[in-house]
Amino acid sequence: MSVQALSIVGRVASIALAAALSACAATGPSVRSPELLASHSPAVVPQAGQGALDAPTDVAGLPDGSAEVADPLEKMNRSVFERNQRINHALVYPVANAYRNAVPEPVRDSVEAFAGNLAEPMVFANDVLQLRLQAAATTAGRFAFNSTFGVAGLFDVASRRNLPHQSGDLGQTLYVWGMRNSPYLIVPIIGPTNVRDLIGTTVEFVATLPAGGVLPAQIAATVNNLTVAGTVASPFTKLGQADQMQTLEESSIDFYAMLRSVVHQKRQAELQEALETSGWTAGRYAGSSEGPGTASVSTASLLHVPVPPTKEQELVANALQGGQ
Amino acid sequence: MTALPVISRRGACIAVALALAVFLFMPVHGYSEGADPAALRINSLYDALLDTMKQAKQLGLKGRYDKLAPVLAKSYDLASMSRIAVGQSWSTLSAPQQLSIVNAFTRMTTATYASRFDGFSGEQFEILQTADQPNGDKIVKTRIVQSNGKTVALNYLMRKAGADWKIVDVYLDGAISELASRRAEFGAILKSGGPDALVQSLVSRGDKLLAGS
Repeated sequence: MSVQALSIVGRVASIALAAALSACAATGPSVRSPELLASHSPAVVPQAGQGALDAPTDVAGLPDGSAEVADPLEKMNRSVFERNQRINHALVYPVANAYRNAVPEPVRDSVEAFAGNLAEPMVFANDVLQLRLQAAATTAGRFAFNSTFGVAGLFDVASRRNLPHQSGDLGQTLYVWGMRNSPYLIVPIIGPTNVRDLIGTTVEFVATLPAGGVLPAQIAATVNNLTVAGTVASPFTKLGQADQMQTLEESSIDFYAMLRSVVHQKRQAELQEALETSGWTAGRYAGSSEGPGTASVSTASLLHVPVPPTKEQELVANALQGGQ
Repeated sequence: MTALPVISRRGACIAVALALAVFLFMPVHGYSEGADPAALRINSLYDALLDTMKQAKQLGLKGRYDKLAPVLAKSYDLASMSRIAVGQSWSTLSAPQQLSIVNAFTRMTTATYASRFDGFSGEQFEILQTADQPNGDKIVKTRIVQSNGKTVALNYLMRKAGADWKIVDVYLDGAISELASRRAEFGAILKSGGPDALVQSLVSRGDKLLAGS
């Protein structure tokens, strides 16, 4: 959902992530006077000795935040990330802005829906491989509905018929089958992913070559997988995500670390959903919202909402719980 | 027959009274959760945001900052969020260092709001549900409805701080935790540069936001 968000969704994100996952301002601020704002507002400055500032015990055992996503290649990843960002600023963001300004929103929605519809067969196949039969049935229904009533997939009429898009890609399938831990990876041009999802995306792309022989289908499959993987890889997704990426960057103090966390959390939600609904694993994970290798107190169990447990979220949940 | 007009007038009086009550007490964006204090806090935040968005151009950046600062201070427990985002290192910091981090994070957060909420395009904020948590916290589930009908879910984790309910974490799409994301980047900077680098990064980002760049 957030991937397709437009300018107001950016504002929404701004609320949600308070300072980071924020909005896409359509116009620049009208006042540029940092010196007038440099002093802290008395209303928001806590007093020394206030409870929240006392030495806490709840965070004493937490590891450093940077160690919470497996990123053994961080040095190389950061280097690639910087080069990608230079390309983004020089080329992708201007093109994305021009695309957003020049192409009406309904047309952009149709482009996105068309690409997504072409990728549905691959989603279906993976849902079957994961023994997520309900998701597979929903995906089959979506494809049939959108390919006909949706004019060859140009309109996502299925979503309005209670047939929402389902997750399903080979990286997710490999996760369900047991390939759980995978190092974070920044791919040149493509962006953030991990080794498992990169394997999945590559295999799916190659698999469509003899089967389809239709370039848009191959691209669409790749687009879908990379979107699921949280990357900004394709022309379609990249254009759609560019404004959010810009806004996230503008309100981040370490964009590499911030994006790594966001991508990981987003992807973990999809992986956890697959674990909980797969016929292979649902018996072990259904309702637990807790994947293998996770701590005993997950964010989900604490909050009782469908929040997937990443390591960071667990640590935050533990800190919040212990801080009472 | 003569009694009917009397009943009608009485019914009309009641109807008018009810309508007045609804008019007077119904929040601007249809909040109907009742008197749940955590939801009321979010309701107040959304009211202030909408008001700011509608007056964005007249207020300017500084005006939006000044208007939102006290609202955000009431709505968010930014001191606790700072502490948890810092994590393990917090207990090793001096009180002045802790205060500097909280102040810089608060300023940057407020600057982000002031910078981004610079216009209004017909958005609506809706409070959907409040759920009590076993540990006494509350989850307030909300969504933003764009003028084109697309929605984005936002869930707030609320905790009682004294007499007030305050936000301690926000989940975008129910999956992406603000606090976890902040903790990731705080941790990276603390690891590479320590607390002074963290404060400098927060201050620098706040400056850029307030400069409109």
